[in-house]
Amino acid sequence: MSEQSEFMQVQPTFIKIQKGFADHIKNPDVFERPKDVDDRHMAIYRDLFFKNVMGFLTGAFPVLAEIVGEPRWTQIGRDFFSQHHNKTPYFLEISREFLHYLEHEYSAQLGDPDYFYELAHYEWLELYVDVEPEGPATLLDADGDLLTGIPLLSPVVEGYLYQYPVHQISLENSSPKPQPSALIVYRKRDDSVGFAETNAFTLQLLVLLKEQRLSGHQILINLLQQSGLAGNEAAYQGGLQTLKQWWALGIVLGVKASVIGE
Amino acid sequence: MPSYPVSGAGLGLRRALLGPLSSVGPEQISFMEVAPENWIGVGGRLGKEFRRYTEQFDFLCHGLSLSIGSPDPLDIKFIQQVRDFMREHGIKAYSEHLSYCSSEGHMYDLMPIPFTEEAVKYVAQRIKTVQDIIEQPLIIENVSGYAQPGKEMDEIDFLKAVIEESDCRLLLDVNNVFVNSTNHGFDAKDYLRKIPTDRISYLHIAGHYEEASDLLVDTHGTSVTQNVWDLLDYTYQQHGVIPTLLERDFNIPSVPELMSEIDVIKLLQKNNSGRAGGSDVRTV
Repeated sequence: MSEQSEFMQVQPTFIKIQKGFADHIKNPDVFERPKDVDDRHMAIYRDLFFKNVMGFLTGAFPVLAEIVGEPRWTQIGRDFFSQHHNKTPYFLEISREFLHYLEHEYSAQLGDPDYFYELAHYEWLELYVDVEPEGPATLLDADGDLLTGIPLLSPVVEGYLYQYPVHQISLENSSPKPQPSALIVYRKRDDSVGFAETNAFTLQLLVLLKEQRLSGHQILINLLQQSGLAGNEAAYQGGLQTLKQWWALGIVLGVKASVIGE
Repeated sequence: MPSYPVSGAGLGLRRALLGPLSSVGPEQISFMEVAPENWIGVGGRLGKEFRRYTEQFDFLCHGLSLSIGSPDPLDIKFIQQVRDFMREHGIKAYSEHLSYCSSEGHMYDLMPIPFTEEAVKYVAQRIKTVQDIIEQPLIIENVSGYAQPGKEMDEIDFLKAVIEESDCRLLLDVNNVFVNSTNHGFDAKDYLRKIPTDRISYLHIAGHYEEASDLLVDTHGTSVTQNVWDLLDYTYQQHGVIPTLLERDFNIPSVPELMSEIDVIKLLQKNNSGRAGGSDVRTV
């Protein structure tokens, strides 16, 4: 802080004008507009900026916006715009900045749903899976044996255990009871976004698969051990079924191709 | 003889245009422009579609988040990412707005830099930093403004001083000249005449919204008005035929309607071909 206030003392006049201009746009109720700009002209900036930010937020969180309703959503948007210091220059990452705001700056009001953050996170996840760049490709054997080979996952796949069934929330179902929901969101073979409901046990399977270094068989053995089910044949078969199901869905793409001569 | 990074008549590529423009080729649209902030770090289906475009068309980057006049420090890592993105896609040049869009964080739209001597020096220094990183001249654009806080000199003098001091290039937005001449009461043709011809890299043209007869807003949401077409013609007369890009960001019409505006650009370029200062126009 002391470094910043030192800078404030030496900063040129035009910088002070710029900061005042920006402060007023962010929060016109608190900061007056610059003295040499009339309200009619200043209103153009206020409206352009706020509509733009609300467009980003409503575009990224359509379900949340609808459930919260226009007045409260606008209020939250104004609070985000005036309080949160957006670090990202990238427009698609504004939704991630909003999640950060929800975690650290937002204060819930009476009437805000308890699942507010979880629903926002789930809506963000869909966008993330859609656009996140693929890592370097690994040579794939799409029909390889899932037990003896090293299973390869979809290039973008994330699983989370939510406390609410966020995937079922809508304007018509806006007051669900808490219910642990293990959800996988992933990029399908055709590049569209896929959703799968699962359970805590198989979410752990996803974690092990992400390391992409052990055979399917070894992964299942480790999973059973971690879950206190070592030697349980039924659980092993259940895990294998999940692997096959995931292959059909495109969560698992196949196995790592063995290099000729190896 | 001026040299340009592209030639002919171009169109700004939006995500909403990826599908509609899929059957249009470089013989119809000579070059395209994208905001790097919309495409850096984007993979998946969108990333693949974008790649198909950059393989087919000449491209320019037209940035939105550089915030060249901002009180906040320059984001060096971001500028390096823009440079790498340009290399990855063979993008020919990088233009940005002579404005700022952040103050204690990004605000995602453009604010007016006060036209002062201090601001000229500050902005020019930052442009030089950018040019060192991207290893080519930055192209700055004159922006639309609805206010002129802290103004100590005319916009045209501020613009020229920044270009001289930083040794950068200019993206001359003809619509922005018209909008500002209306909003701030100056002669648009006089402004255009004062532009140094040899600094111009390319032109922008777009539609605007009339909030009131003395207050225009640069929305890129309507077709180009006749008085702006006339100014484009005048610009060609003054500075020669220059590559020109149509911006359309909202209320995007059908491809034939967009192409009819591109055709107006081509026609004006053809009518003015052979004028001093002009480059070869491969679209005629």
